[in-house]
Amino acid sequence: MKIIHCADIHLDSKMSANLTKEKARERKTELLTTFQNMVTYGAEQGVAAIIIAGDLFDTKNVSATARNVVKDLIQGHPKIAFYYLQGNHDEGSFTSGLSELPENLHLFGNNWTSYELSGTENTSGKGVAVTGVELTPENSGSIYNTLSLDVDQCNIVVLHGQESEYSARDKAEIIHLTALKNKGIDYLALGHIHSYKKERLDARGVYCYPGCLEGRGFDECGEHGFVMLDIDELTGTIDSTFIPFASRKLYTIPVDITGCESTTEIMERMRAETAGKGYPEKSLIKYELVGKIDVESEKDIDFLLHQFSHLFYFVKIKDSSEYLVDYAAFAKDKSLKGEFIRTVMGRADLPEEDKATVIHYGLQALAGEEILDA
Amino acid sequence: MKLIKCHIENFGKLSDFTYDFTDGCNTVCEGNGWGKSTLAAFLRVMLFGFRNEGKRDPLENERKRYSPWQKGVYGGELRFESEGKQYSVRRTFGSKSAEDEFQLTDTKTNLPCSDFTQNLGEELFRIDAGSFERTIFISQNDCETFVTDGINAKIGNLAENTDDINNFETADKRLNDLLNSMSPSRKTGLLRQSKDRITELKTQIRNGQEIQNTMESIDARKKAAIEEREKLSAELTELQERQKELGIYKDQQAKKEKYLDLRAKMAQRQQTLKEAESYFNGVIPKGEELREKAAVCNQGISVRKAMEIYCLTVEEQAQLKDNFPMVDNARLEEKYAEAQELESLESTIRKNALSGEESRRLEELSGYFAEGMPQEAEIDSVKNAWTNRNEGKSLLQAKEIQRKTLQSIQAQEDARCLREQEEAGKRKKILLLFGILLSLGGFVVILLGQGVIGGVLIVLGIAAVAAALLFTAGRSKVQTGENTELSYLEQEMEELEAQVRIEEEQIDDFCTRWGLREGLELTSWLVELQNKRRDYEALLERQKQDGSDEKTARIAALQKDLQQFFAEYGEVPETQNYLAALHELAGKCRQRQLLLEKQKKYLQQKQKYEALAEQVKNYLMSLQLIPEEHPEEQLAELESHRKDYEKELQEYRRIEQEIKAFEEKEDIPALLALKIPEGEESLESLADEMQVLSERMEERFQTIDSYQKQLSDLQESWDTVENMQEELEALQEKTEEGLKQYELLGMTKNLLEQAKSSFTAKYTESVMQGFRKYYRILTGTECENYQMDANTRLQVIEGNMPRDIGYLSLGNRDLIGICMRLALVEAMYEEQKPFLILDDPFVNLDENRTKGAMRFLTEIAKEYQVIYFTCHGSRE
Repeated sequence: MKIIHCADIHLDSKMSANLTKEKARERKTELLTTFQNMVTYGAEQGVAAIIIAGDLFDTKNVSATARNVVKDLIQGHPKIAFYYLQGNHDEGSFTSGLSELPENLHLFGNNWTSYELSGTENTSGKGVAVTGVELTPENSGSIYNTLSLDVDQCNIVVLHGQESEYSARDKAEIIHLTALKNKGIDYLALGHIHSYKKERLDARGVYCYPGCLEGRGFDECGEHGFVMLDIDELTGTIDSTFIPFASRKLYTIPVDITGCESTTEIMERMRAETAGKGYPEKSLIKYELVGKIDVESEKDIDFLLHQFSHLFYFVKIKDSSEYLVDYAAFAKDKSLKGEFIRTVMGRADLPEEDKATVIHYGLQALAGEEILDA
Repeated sequence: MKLIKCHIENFGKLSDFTYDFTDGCNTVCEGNGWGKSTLAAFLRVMLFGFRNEGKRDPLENERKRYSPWQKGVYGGELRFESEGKQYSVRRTFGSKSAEDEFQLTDTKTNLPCSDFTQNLGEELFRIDAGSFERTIFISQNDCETFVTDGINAKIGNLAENTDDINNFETADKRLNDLLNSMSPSRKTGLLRQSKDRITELKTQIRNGQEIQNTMESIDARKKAAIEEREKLSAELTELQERQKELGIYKDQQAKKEKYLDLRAKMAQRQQTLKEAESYFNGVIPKGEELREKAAVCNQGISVRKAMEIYCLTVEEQAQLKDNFPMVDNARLEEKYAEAQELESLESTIRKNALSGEESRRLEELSGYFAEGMPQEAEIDSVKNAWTNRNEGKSLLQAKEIQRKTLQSIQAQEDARCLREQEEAGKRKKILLLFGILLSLGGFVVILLGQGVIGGVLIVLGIAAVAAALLFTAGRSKVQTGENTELSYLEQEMEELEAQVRIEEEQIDDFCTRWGLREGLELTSWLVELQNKRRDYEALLERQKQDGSDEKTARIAALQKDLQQFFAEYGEVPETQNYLAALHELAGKCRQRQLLLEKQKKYLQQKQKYEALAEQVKNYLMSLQLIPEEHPEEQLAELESHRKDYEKELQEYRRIEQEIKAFEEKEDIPALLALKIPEGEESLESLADEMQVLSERMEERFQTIDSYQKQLSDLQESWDTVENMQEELEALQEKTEEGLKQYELLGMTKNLLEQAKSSFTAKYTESVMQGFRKYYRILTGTECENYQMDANTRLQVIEGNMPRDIGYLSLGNRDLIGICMRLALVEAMYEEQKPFLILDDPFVNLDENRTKGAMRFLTEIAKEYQVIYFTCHGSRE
């Protein structure tokens, strides 16, 4: 039996922090499309169920398009059972807008709810049960004590929250892993953390965060997708595989520009960091310029952005580099520049970083160059 | 560095003007309007180019202002010395700088030189034009000066560094502009605008918080409505369960009723079947047998109808009872042949008998042809002879005409020939004589020894004789030919006349023999004779055929034989029309034969009918039925009853099958034992209750939907607030960064100015010393009230306060400016001293100071080459 475990899809996310309005709207649509594609992929693979471990939607108030698409997807795949556990973002956002729940949509409540998976080919084998609870400040402290599983069957437990080895009373977003050990769990299907993580829970089972389906910001770089569970119904063993499925990937590329004296040299460094790395054209890229450059060096971030923006779907440049002043070179310089640098360096009240910046500004002004680095 | 010579082609009002410079002071003292300032401007333009080229005003735009008044080449030459080397620079100016020409030559070699470019002044003095005009070049009414970046750079030996002190003012201005554009206090400042926007956003977000409260309130109401809907849904589910239970009872009840109904129907069918079966006396006929016997019955009816057709009438039976002897066909045919022969013979005899008219005509023709009858061929021969004779006559007439014509032509031709013969005879004689004479002459010539000529003459002579003879012969032949044609014609006519005569003799002979009547035309007579001959032959033939004995005997024999034949039947025909009698007899025989055949067929059909009737009768009896008069009706009734019985039987079996299937499918004992469930509610009442619940649920759903829509709208507004929040955060971050930049930029500006002051302060004292020196020379007093700040700005101490020199009088300002310029030049050019150009700078000085100025000139001319322009002798 095959089951998809996904979480943190965050449909209807605005994603306007980095992107333009048009691209944010496009990404919002892509997010919905990727979820749609995942369900289609599941149907092609003959999955019996799709477990959504929370945060299917980003807000409590779901757009009509997202609600209708999700509802039609569920109704359009009657052979797949959808187990939807609501997270901290999408509490009641989807189901309250439906006059009638699709027959193959199964929800969880504030108490443990268990579903036996039907349609197993071999009735003599172990049964598969999907059990879950939506954590609230009220139940988060006591809920672990009330979990009772049939150890003879294959148990999948669904929760949404941050993993923790310790309990945190009244905190709905904390999952107390220790309290879930030795409860007969084969696979703890979690949601909340946006990157893939799979660890052993106890001698019997594992816990797994599939991560989000699509990266939405540069804090969600790398591969994203869902987890495919392949359950041997005779033995009850679960084999899980992460399936990368995001339509676009996000990358943060650090570029050390130490020693660069001009924008062209910085551009060459950036190219060197990009070339041959196989970043797909449809990616979202953030270049982070680091290192120290000479205070007299020239650096135009706008120009660099213009040079790279056409290479990928989205490009952002963050300049975290610092200026380096060769004080010795100006120590005895009989010029206004030398005088200026000595004057700045004589200011004990200025932090070193500010001194470098002031010197850079002054030299740029004298040289007739752009004073600010755009 | 000094000037050697200048030559002006055309420049302003100056044209073809040359001036040789000397070391020391070169004074040009000329009246107003001579062109002193123009000459000074020429020197400046040759070094630094024109000023204000972009201006429209010709007075400000120097290129236009100094455009030659008298046209011609615009420009000139300047010779100067720099670092021991002499150069000549030639410039010509066009209407725009692109049309300018520049050439630098080494005066020693007169070859082009590249030691300097078009930027000659800057390269020569290491200062820009502005700095030049503030130091070396002192123009009229502009003696004041100030320290430019270029002057600072030159003093600080940084003239080569383009991005240092010489760019300070630009850098300072840019920093200032940037600070202004970013200003957090100015309305136009970006940071001020950002701060304003932040305040605006904060206000809007604060107001937007109310949206969140409203959303939470609506969300709570929505949740309550959802709970209520779920409660109603649970109630509805309970009712649905009860409805389902009642529905199941209703279904079972319906099934029970259906089962009982089926059983009742089967009992009813069973009764009907028995009634249908009772019609038959224990034996139910098979459908196939019945249909077979019905077919037999129908066949019997057909046979009976045929019997009626073949049944003989009373008259026919009576006819058959007569002992009429039948004649066989062979004998009847024989008698027919005899009767036909008899009729033929009698007809022939009747046809050949001659009428009275024919007998009279035969007699008449016998008399006419008593001596014989001409043959047909003979008559035809006479007809031909007559035709030939007539044609011969016509031809003879034509030929006679021809003969007369020929004779006339012959007579004319003879007369002409006679004339020609006479003329020919004369020519012949002459020719003959000429030939003979020629021949004789030839002989004579031969004899005389001229053989060849003689031979020729003889030949010609013989030819002439021969020609004369031949001419005569030809004429004779023509005459003979014409005579032959006429004779031929006459011969033909003779032959034709002989032929006509023979024809006429034959005709005459025939007519004589057969007596052609007078006055009758021969052709008509011959036709009449021919007709008579044919009529006579035909009449003779008929007379010959009529009354043959053989025929008469045959007729008698035939009549006898036929009479005997008819006598056998007792009806000898009185009219002896045996053929008709034979026809009548044959008819009688055929009628009798038909009656006999009809009687035979009747008997056959009767036998067949009786067999069929017996078959049906036996079948009916086998069904225990008494055969009736019309068995076909009896059989039809049987078939009808049998069908009814079959139908009933099928229906009975169908119901039986239905009951069996029902019993197999349903639990019959349980159905029969079915009891009404407890409770008084009916399906209708349950449906009503459910309807009410559904309506209430629908209302709740609409309420939820309404909340949802409100939430969606509020969410949109909240999205806007969130967008504002995002914008605010981004803007705050950006503003904070901008403020930091602003602070650092301000610091940069201050520190740069501070650095510049520190930098210039190092040579301020040396400049001040120079100023004091020149002040002393010019005024003869020490300058004690002046000081110079770190920015090389001169100030005057007035009322114990440093003041800007702008407060001083014009004369004092000029004086201080001149001294300051010289002090700066001294500081700038420590090694190679430049030449100085002074365009009447002392014009505003009083008399005492003018004298000092003259001293000043004398003093500086010791160290510098001075080009001094003045318009007044007092300042010379």
